[in-house]
Amino acid sequence: MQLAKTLSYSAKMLSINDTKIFLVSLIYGLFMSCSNNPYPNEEQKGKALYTTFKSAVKNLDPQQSYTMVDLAYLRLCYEPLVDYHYLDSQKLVPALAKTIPEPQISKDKDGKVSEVRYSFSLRQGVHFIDDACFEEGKGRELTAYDFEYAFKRVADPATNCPIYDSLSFIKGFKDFGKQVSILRDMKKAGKEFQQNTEAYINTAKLYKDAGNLPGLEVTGKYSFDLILSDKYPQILYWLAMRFVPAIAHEAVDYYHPEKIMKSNEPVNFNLRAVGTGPYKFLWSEFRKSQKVTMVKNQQWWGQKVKSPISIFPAKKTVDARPIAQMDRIVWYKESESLTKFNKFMQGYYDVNILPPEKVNEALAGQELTEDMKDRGIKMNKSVELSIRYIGFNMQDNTVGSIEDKEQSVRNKKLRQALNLALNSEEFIRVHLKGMGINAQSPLPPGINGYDPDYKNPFKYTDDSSLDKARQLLVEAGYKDGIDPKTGKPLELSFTVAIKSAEDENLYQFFIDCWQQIGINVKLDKNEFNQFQKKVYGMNYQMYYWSWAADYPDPENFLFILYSKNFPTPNHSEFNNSEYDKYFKLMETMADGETRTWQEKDSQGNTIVKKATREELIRKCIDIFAEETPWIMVYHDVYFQLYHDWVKDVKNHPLFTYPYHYYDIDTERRQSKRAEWNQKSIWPLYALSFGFLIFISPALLTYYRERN
Amino acid sequence: MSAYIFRKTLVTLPVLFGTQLLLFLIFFTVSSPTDIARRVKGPKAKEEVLQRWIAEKGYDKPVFYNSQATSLKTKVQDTIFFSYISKLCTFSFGKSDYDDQPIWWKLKDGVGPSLFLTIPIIFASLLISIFISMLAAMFRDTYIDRSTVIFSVTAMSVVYFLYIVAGQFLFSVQFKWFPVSGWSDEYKLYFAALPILIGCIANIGESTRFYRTIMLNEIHADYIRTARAEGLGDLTILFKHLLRNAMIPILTRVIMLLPYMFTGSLLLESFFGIPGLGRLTVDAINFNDFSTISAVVYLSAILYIAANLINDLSYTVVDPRVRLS
Repeated sequence: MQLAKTLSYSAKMLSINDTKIFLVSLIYGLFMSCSNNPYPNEEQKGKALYTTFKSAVKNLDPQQSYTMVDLAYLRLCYEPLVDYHYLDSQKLVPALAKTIPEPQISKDKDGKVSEVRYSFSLRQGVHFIDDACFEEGKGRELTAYDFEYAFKRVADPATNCPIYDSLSFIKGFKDFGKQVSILRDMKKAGKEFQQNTEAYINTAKLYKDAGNLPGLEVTGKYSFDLILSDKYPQILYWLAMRFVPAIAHEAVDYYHPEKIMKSNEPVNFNLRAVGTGPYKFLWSEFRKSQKVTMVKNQQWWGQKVKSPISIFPAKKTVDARPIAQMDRIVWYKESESLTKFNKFMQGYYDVNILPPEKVNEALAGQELTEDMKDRGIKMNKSVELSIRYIGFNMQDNTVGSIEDKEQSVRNKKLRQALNLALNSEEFIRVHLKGMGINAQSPLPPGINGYDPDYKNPFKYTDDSSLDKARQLLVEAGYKDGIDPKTGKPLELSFTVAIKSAEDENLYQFFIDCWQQIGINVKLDKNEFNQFQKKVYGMNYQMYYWSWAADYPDPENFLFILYSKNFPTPNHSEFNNSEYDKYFKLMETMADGETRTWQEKDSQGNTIVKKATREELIRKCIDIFAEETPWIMVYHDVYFQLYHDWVKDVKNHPLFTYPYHYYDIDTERRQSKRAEWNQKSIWPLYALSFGFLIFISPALLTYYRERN
Repeated sequence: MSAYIFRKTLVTLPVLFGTQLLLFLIFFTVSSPTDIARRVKGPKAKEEVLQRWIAEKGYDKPVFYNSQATSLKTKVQDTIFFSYISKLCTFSFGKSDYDDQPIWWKLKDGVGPSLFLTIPIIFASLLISIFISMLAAMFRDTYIDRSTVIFSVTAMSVVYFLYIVAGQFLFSVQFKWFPVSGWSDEYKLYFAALPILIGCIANIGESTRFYRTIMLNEIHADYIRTARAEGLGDLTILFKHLLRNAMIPILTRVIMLLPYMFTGSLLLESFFGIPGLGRLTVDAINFNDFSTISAVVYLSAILYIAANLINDLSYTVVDPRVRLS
């Protein structure tokens, strides 16, 4: 009744005599105001890039976070000393450091390396963003003491830095951590804590009280030396990640963990990013499970200073220009890939990873379809620095490398036969729609040591591989796959995590391959947590796993099988002294370096050996192929789609989401969006007409009966 | 009546305890504190980092029974289960395992969007399906009634997921009437319109079939015949007599849907990017966020119990013959 009155009143106000006409007009008006534009309230001025996230940001403390999700934001707001070149993933360029320092190696009187010193000189005039944690809310200038604090905080065990062990090459690193822990425990046992359990220990003061970190010497306001106890060239790669960026102790201690949230604005340092980078969070729009917006940091030093990290790297076809062209970068949560893809096709997202379920629609072979090209959509194919593999339990009596030498050799032949039977090429074609590269060794393309011509002798090539596999089975004591103990086909167990029905199909492919040589492999299906538990507990025969690199160095792949890295990441418990020896030799070498070492031959004579790093890598790979602790399946490939209004989109295996390098032609985007999203009215008329046709006989009958 | 309410409230305690016990049994059978820690700290985190996190969160205790403890009291009290139960009793949900955010904040943020989505879905589909079912009852054994049955059975047979995908494809991708997904606090209706429409369409089939059966049972009753004999109009008979007498089963169904209003629609929220409690639950399960799962299960159990109680009480309102004792 009230609604009718309101409508009637509104109709009179608008001088419409009939309420029904007004109601129809209202519905029509409401319909006309409908649109599929998902940004009805977005400011159209300025350049904005629209993109998505699937998992909400978890931890924005750069010294704790180790996920790609968080890294997408951390790369934009925190800056490291050195960074990766945008167009060359193997190359590092100076970021907050003025230059990349050369290691200065000191040796003791025995000729052994006593210390390796990297002298960093920082850029001047770099400021933290304005934030309440600073005096008067004004971001102060970055100095070498901030890096001293950052290194000390990484060394503090309470920080829980995931690369704590990798940084232990820094002189006195672990001892300093122990000292901090002792001091913290003492403070916690003190009066202040006894009276107030929620008291917070100021980290800046704590680290000062703990004394100097021997591996870090501040040599001036803008310079410091990083001192390692041994050669470790990979340290620069670790520094290019965001674990030791410029962080302000004021921010860490102001946004301490005991602070209680009073609004959606984060008040703990693990979500409150205060950096020096080209972008900063817009806290008023921060809904970490819904939408995240970053805006340009107008104080960013890179806007005034030309450096390799602030200028788009010029090549013949690309003009040099300052980076950070976008005024805003807006992320929306999209859990479903189909939804995301639909919005990308409507022009509402600028970039998108091609979901496997849309490969047939978007690609013809490895190229975009003509339809996609006509819409101005472009594609980048990128190979991830990763490996997917099937690992063997090397302690298992049937497939492992065990004490009984003869059995161990037979088991090796069984592993080789299983490897030969698995047709990775076909797997990639059928199940991954071409989104993978057949792996011959653990090293993917883009890593030093990767040889495109290398062929693993135990990988499937054609049907003759199956004959070879059958021959190996005979030598392993399983003729035609028959286990002599049971007289039946040999049964093995394959432990996997199943997330969907599609996963089961993938694994069934492997089982069918092995079935061809007579081996009966049973799928041990698990929920992911159960799967992890089984793998960590060595409660399996074969398992399916993957590894993604932290930095582009072969050491980051070969270390997985180093015997001392059991149980993780060496889940297979591979233990081969030759492999260990070559790995340890190459571990701390620089690319192209030659190493000399001494060995004893079978007669006990000392012989001097010499090899380049690349030769040592090859030796590791050969041992790996011969021993076959893994069946390597593929390296991940993904196809990134983007509209032609997005400029300078390049692939970088380690630079996930380098949005600060992109540029946008907003006018073209606006016109394309308008062209692609014209509303269709005819379905409404068709629906109304259909309903009338359906209901009219009933109404006619009803009125006829009643009259 | 107050004795009844008091007795019913007492019954909630073992039910709440039971749901938590079941949750603990299921969760810690398939998962372990190390699994939770690994999910939080990442697959590459070192063992000592995981153990430190486990100790900080109090997951280093046994789940149900601490055999290491000295007294019987501490054997029970010094466990994960006891510490959770004691916190839940005072509604101290603490912080999320996954991202350390206060769980109350998450629940508070999620309940608004969930209600905005589910209230219109429940009431619009209720009104539409009651209207259609009354129409079917009025035109029983005609093509309208038969079409209603065919439509209901067909609509019931289609999975919810398909409604969403097809709805998005038709209304957003093809007709371009609504955004494919999204959410904004300022434009709630703009973004919620399509999920509400799809939610209604998906619900109408089943509820129409249910209400049609009720209406058909009632339309043959003597009081309807009497009303007709008195010369009352069709609309008066339908809305004043038929609907009122069919109210008990309708109320039962509607009240039992009330907890769903708060807990949200898992699929709709996930596909349409609506930051409600349904998506919060799905995310918590995906991320092994036990503290959030536990809080959501606890609140859901309370809501279901409350809905049951309201259901019983409402009978006395709509039917004076019902007495609670």
